[in-house]
Amino acid sequence: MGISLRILSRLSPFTRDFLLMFSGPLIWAAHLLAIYVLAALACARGFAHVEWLGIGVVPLWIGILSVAALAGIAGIAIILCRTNDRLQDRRDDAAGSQDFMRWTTLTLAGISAVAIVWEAAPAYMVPVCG
Amino acid sequence: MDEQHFSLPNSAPRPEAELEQLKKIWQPPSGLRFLTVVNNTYIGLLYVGTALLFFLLAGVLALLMRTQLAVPDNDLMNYQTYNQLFTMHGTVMMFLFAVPAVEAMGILLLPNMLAARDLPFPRLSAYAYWAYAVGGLVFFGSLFFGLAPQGGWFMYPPLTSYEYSPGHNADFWLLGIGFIEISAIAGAIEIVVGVLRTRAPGMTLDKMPVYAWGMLVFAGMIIFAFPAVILGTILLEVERSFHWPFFVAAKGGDPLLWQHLFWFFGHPEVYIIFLPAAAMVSMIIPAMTRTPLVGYRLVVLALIATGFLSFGLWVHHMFATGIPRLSLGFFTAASMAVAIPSGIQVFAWIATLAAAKKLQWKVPMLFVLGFLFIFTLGGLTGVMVAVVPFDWQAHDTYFVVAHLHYVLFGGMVFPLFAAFYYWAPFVSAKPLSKRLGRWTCALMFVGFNVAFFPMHITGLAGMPRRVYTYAEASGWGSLNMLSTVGAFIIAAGVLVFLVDLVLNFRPTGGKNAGNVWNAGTLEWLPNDYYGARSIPIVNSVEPLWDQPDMVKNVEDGRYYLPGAPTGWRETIVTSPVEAKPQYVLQMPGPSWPPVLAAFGTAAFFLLLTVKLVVPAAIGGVFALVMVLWWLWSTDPGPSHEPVNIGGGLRLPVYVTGASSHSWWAMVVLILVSGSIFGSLVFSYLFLWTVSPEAWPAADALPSAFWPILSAALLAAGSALIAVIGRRMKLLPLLMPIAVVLPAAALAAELYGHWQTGLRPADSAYGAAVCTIAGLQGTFVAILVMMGLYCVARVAAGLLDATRRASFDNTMLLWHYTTAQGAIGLVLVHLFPRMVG
Repeated sequence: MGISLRILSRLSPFTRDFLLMFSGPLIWAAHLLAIYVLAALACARGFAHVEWLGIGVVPLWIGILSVAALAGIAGIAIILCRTNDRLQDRRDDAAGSQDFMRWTTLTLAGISAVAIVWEAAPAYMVPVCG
Repeated sequence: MDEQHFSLPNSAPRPEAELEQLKKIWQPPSGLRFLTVVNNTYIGLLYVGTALLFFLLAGVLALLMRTQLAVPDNDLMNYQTYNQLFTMHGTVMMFLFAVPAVEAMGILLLPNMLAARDLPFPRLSAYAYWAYAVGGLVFFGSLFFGLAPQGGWFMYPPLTSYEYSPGHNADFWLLGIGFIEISAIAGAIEIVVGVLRTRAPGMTLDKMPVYAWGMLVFAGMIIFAFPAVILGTILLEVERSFHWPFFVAAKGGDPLLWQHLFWFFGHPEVYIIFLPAAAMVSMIIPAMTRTPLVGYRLVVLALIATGFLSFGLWVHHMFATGIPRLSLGFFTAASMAVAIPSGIQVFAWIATLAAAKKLQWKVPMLFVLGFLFIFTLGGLTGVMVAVVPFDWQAHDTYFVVAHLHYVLFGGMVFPLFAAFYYWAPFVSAKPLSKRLGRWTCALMFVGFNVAFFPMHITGLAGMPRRVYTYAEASGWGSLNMLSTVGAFIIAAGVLVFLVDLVLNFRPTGGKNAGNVWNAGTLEWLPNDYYGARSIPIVNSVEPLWDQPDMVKNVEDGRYYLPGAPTGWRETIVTSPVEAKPQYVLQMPGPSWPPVLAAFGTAAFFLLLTVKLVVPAAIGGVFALVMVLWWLWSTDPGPSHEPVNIGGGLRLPVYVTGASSHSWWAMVVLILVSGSIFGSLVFSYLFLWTVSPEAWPAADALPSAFWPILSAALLAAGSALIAVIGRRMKLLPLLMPIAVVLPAAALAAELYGHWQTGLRPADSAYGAAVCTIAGLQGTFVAILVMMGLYCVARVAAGLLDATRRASFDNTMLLWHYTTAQGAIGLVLVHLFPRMVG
């Protein structure tokens, strides 16, 4: 968390704010890409049937990746709560704009979290290949 | 908020000569020179008109198809002609009508809606328009010579590759459409920089009109979606011309690679068309109901969320291709997820209608209601075809034809016609007719449902799409006849619209019919060639409703920049989030080079289609010379002292570095380049996944010496550029050395591969590796040109430590090319060693 905050603070305010605003959907995109590649490789290279700890390797890794993605989204919410404290004292136009971006960041992250859960769910409902 | 809280920037009366000067500066050229016009009002209108022309042309093709299908066993036309008709209908509607039409509306409306005098790159808009118009018309003309493509609008290989489509027909699609996509990207760059950097002071992100948000998302989607199909068209054209087997299964290729690339563009494309249309609806409903949009923030959220999620849906066009079942599940789930933001918008519109004290049953409103009905039905059948087992039944039947027309005609054409009626008074001295508008809407609505609703049933009854006729015994005759009757009723509606245009549409370029709807956004300020007289300070989403004195104060020149203090065309550049004025941008007037460059570019691509290589090369060189001529007058330097725009604000007229508009445009161009390269990396990895046997063992790869040398040369090139950036005096000395380094890096890479016996036509592996090198080579060639151009500018005294935007742009692209080259080396050399 500390490292990501330091990286963000080195960017221009616009790049930082927009990256933060789109961070939920960007995590969603990375998650979809990762689970799609995993399933494709599992079928193409024939390791879909392998089990670890009594659970298929694909559902297991999809679970791990999904928890990691959701944790990333939770991290954004924490970053926003910290920046919100600094905004409390401002009552000018910029504060209105910042509040708007904060709201958009949080709600985009929320929709992304729903999409991540929905997209992970089939791993526990349908066979991997076939 | 009350306007009295703000003091006006220019409260004293303005000198009389000021307005005359403003008019004179923005006056469009007359006679033949009108072709060189660059103002957004004119280019936007030409753009919209040309898109409408393609709508009519593609509509005529649809009528011909429906006539052929009206009765069973019809012999009006043969299957070759029919194949060309359906391919051209889909292609022209999608690439020459839908995307350009929404982009054109953006170019027309955005500057005025943001109270800018023009978009930041007027000549780029003109270039994009002329390239599109000329290229599009020639492409359409291929139909009259039997040269039109026949492979369907998505052009799947192997049908469209050299073996099964040996003529020039498919090349017209690949080169013609590929080149028109450049136009779309040019427009997208213009819109991103325009929306983020030329908004009226005070128009913070939370006060931006929903339409501006919609166009920002639209442009962002073009930047990331179009590169996939651009790469796809390059790969297929290279396969057709040089037999590099990207899609040939016997040589390690895979036809599904095309489908992935096409639909990674093709699905977002649906939203690229729909989101601007939805954003138009979000502007029209508040004006018609005199009620602010319910849930402004939610609607903006929905636009952004749809923009992202639509990139996760491409495989739902490929459910019947044998992709693993779990993967299909991901995309069904993603299709469900995108329904959330779409639903948010629909409910926000319904809530706004419900909140209205009085609903105006004007023509734009009627079209919006038609849109809501038709689009919602299209959305519902969309949910049906997102369910895999249902899709397997309905795939490639008329059910899908019905679904896609409900979505596209309902979701884009109806809002666009609403927009035509709504914004006609903004560009015309007279609004369009209420009576004729009602007839247009009624005929189109009835005709559409008569034409397309039966197709759901025709499809479920088993009629496949893209058949030129069917047997009487199939029992599909009466449903088809009904669809044909409906198609002609739509045509009657469009005809009434054309009559309305002839009778009432009087574009002036300057004064218009005014704010006939009593709408609240800035495009309804009194306008002339120069846009608004002065650039207002905005305090809300609907400033004309909330700041009642704004219209008068704008007209009296009491806000910012009431004249033209530098004697050029100008607009204010503001900061991207808070819209604070940063500098005055001097903009170019009419000139020939962009128009001529567009003609040269069109000639290059279209002559290449029919393999007239030498004339094509002449066209290409001509285009290049015109572009250089055009560029020579850019980067004017600090040609004028900082100017007073009012309110004590004294702004510079020239800035360089990260806050300049040209830097922003270059960053956007780099994002496009990165997307093309990203698609190529995907293609390489995809082919490796399906055909690992085509990949060489680690010991058959080039020696590590070559990629290490290549990487060192690339890094040295970037290092030299960084040195020049710090000490511009060294440019003439170091740049000639710098341009050699990335070229030498490429030569080292190619030599290493050549030594191993790698040949691109032998396998998909060879083709992929050579394409990565080829793309890098294209960038290196551009760098060489840009580097030498900088040397020439220094020699001419046009580039120095303060006047350095040309170098800054070169520097940005240079570092990007170095990064792209390095990633390419890792992919081609390290990756096979790791997995081999």
